[in-house]
Amino acid sequence: MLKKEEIEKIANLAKIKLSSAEVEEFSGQLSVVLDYFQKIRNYDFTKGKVLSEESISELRLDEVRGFFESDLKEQFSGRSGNLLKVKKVL
Amino acid sequence: MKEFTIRKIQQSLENKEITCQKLVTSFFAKIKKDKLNNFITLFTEDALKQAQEVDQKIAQGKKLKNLEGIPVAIKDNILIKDRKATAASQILENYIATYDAQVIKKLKSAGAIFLGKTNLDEFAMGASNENSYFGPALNPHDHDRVTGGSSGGSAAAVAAQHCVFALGSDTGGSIRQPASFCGVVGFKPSYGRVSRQGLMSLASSLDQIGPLTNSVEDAVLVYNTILGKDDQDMTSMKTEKVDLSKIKKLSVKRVGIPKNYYELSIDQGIKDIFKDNIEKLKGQGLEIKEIDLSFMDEALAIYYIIQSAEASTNLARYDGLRYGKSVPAKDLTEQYINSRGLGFGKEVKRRIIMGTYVLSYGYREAYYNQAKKVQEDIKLRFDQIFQKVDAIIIPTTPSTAFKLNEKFNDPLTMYLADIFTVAVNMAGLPAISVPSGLVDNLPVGLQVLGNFKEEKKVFNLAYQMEKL
Repeated sequence: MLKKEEIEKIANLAKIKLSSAEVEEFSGQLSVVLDYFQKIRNYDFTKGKVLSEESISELRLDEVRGFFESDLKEQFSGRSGNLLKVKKVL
Repeated sequence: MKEFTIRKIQQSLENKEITCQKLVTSFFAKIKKDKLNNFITLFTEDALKQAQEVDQKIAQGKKLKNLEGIPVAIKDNILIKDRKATAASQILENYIATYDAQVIKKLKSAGAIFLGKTNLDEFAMGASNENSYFGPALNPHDHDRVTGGSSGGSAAAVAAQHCVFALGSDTGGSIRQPASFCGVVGFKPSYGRVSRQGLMSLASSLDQIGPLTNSVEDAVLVYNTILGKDDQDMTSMKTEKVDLSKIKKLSVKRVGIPKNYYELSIDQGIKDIFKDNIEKLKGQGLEIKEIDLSFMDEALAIYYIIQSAEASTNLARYDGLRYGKSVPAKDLTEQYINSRGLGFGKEVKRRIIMGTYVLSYGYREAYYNQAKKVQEDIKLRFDQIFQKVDAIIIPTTPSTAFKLNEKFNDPLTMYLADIFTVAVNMAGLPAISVPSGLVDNLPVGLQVLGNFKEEKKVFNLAYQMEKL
C-alpha cells in the first residue's frame, strides 16, 4: 500500500503540485498498479545465454552546428531581448 | 477504404480525374462535418496553397514525387516548424515548434501535404485518447466509443477519410491499438529504423514513429519514405528501403500463434476472427505452430515500470521556464512545482509519480533494475521463438473499442488494454496491425510480429492476411 505521505514525498521529488484529492486518488490507484508489478519478483529466467546488448549507437563528430537559438529563446516565458529571466536561484 | 490509397490517389490526380485542391477541400469538409475532435490544429490555408501548386505541376505535365499531393495528418507530438506542437497538454498549449522533425523533413521533400496535427493522449500516455487536454477523439465507427490511443486522432483521421495516411508514435502499442479500434493498418518499425529526432520523448528506449494507413502497401510506401539513419538520433540505424515487389514474392511459411489462445482473456468475437483467419492461412499452406507467449503478463508489468521511469525523467524538461505554461511563483522551485501541477493532466502526473517511485532509493532494485533484467530475458525468449517461426500472429487488442469513460478512472484496467502490444516494444521488434474483421460492427485488428529488423517478413504476412 502506497501511503499518502509517500505520494506527497514523491510528488515533491518530481516537483509536481498535487491537490489533496489527487494524493488520495493516486495512493489507491498506484497501490493496485504496484501490486501488479509484483509479478516480476519471482520471474522465471530462461536458462539460456543472455543476448549481448546490440549497440546501435554511433557518435557523430564533435562540431558546432546552429541550433535555432533565436527561435528557442522566443519560447522562453520570462524574456526581454537576449536576457532570459528566471526566479532567484540562491 | 481502398480507394483512398496513395497510388490510387496519385493516379487520379495524374489522370486529372480530380484536382488536388478539390481533394484537399473535400478532406477539410469531411473533418468539419464529422466533428470527431480528432484534429488539434488544421493548416487549411497552406494545404490549399500547396494543392494549387501540385495542380499546376500536373497541368504542366510534370511527374509527381513519391508522396506529392498526398494529404497527410501528423500526431501532435511530432514537430513541424512554426506550427503549434501541443502533445495534447496544457503545458504546451501555445508552444510553437522551432524545427522540423526528421520524419517531417522527409515527408516534405517527398511532397506530402500536411492537413493538420492530430489529437492524442497527453504526451502519448494512454490507450483511449481520453487523456487529452482537448478532450477525447471519437471513434468514427461509433461516436460513443474511444478511438484507442495514444495515436487516436491519427487512427480516426485515416478511418474517417480525413486524410490518406497519418503518422503516429508507438511506445507500447500507440499506433497498433488505435489502428485496431478504428479499422486501419498501423505499423511500428523495429526500434532504430526511423529517427526520433523531433518526436517528443515519452520513453526514449521504446518510442518509434510509424504510419497509419488504408493498406499494407501504403504502410510500406510511408515506411520507405521516413526510415533511415539520422545523425541527430544516435539510436537510429542504417536501413535499406523495402522492395514492394520482392516482399510480395517472399514466402513466409512458419507462423507462430499463442499456445492455448482460446483460454486467453479475449472477447469471444475476437477469438472467432483470430481462429477463422488462422484456418484460412492454414488452408493456403502456411505451417501454424503453437508457441509459448505466457510472458506477455510480465512484459506488461515491466513495460509500465520502464516506460514510467523514462517518462518521469524525460518530462523533467517541462519546467515552466524554457517553454510552455508558466505559473507565477515566489521562487524557482515553486515555479516548477506550480507550473507542472497545473500544466500536466492526471495521467501524466500519475506516471511521473510512478516513474519517480520505481527509480527512487530503496525501490530501484526491486522495480526498475529487475524490470531491465526481465526485459533482456524477454528479448531472449523472442529470439528463441523466431528460430522456430518466421513471424507470429496475435490479436492486437483483447476487446473492441470500449465506451468513453468505461475505463477512464481505473488505470490498471486501462493499462491491461495494452497486453498484446507492449511485448513488441520491450524487445524492439517490428509489428503491424491489419484490419481482419468486425464484431458487432466494430473493427478488429490482428497483429503480425517479426524478429528485430525483419520488417520484410512482417509485411509479407500482413499482405497475405489483407487478401484473406
